[in-house]
Amino acid sequence: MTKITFLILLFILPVAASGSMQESLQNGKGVYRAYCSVCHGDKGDGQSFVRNVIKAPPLDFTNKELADQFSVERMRWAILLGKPGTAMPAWRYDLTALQVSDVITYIRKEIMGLELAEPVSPEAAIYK
Amino acid sequence: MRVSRYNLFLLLICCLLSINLLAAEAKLQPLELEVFDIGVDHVKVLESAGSKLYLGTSDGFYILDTLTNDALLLDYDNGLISKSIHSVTQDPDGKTLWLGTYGGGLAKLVMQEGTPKTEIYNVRHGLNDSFVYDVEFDKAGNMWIGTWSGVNKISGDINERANWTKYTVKNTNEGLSDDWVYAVEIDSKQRIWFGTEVGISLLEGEQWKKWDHNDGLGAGIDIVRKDVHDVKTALRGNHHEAQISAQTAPGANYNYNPNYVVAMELGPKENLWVGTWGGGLSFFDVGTETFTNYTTRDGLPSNFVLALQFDKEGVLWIGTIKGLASFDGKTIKQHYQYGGLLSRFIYSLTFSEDGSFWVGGRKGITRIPVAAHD
Repeated sequence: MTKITFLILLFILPVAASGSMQESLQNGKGVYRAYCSVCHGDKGDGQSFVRNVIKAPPLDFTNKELADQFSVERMRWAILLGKPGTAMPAWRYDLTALQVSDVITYIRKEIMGLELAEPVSPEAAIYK
Repeated sequence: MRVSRYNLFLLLICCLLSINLLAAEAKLQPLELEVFDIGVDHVKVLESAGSKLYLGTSDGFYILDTLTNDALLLDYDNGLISKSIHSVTQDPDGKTLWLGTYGGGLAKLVMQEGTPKTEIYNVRHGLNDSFVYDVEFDKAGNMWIGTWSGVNKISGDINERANWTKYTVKNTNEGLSDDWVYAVEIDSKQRIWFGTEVGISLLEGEQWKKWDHNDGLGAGIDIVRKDVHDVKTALRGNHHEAQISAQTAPGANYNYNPNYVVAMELGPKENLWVGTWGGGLSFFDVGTETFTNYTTRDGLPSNFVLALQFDKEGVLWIGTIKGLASFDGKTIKQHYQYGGLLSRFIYSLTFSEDGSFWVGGRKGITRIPVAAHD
């Protein structure tokens, strides 16, 4: 690799990664509003009208202790397969792999406040 | 006695006021009521079956024995995921009830001795989403479900996902007015009517038609402006904002939306009566496809119409957020002033086999006996 190519990549790569993150966050926000906010609340804190009438209150994603317990894969499983016996539906027939990964990206970065170097990948063992 | 012109003028004004008050009182009909206090509030649905009365509330599903006044409550302990019940439908098989719940999917109750057996159907089975507002059966036995994410039709075994069909704004090329579907009605020609948050849609065979405020649904803001007020902050939030921003009716907001079909009922001549959110009562003549709107100017207690029910004489009973009214096709009469309904905020109405009229509201249920109602 020439010095010039290296320098070009040095400037382009972060921009590309940042753009991808922005796209993922934007898509994820749309999915969150359409599928999640009605129960988990606009701010992800579980404060919604529904929480008063469903069996188990929706999770509060702003709770730092809970955030530590939720791995990406655990969140992916919950979104795809739901939580039996609770109001959390299984969205595996309705959301694409990309939509699921984007909404996880959005929740983890914007609601949980976690540091993410890159968007959550749609590639996952659960789909294989 | 000398009477001045001024006194004569005052006397005339007093006479006119008295006549007006008498005319207003004549429109208010007294009713004999019985109030049932079983500690139930927010009675969203009332459905009668023999001596049983089914109550869908925000605290669960109640089965009230109207002969003994014993009530059985079903909630989380009985398998429900949500205790907020928005619809109760009797299956044609005569043994099953279907409950539409708020956030807990569709509940199937198999009636048996003692406590009914419960099964939940949700997104993984094929339900569009877990917010279910209405369920109806057509003559062929197909089940039609109105949800917050469009309509489901189930043909055959409900446990087979392949038997679930989805109808959304997108996959019907906007034939379905909106994905937020609150009411389903099926006429004798097996045409399916959907009341949504953006107007009315009709599915006839494979063909879709739709109507909204621009076609005449709901009274205009200039007519109802005085009755528009902050009625329900629960509608706020990101999930609802998209709905409000999608509205085309002038002046539409959280507190006035003439396109929002809250209640819908087919009349004796199979025309459509629609209760709207702030736009009053709307009559849709199916033959001419024209709307006639009725508001507080015509005698309604409020322009927020949440419940509609016809009696055996063809009189339409109207539940609003400010009381009860009836409409015989000529005159709208208000019924809340005398007799004291338990709640003026009315969610639900039904008639039981003995002719009693039941009114469900924010505060419990009220029974209007046969004689009083007649």
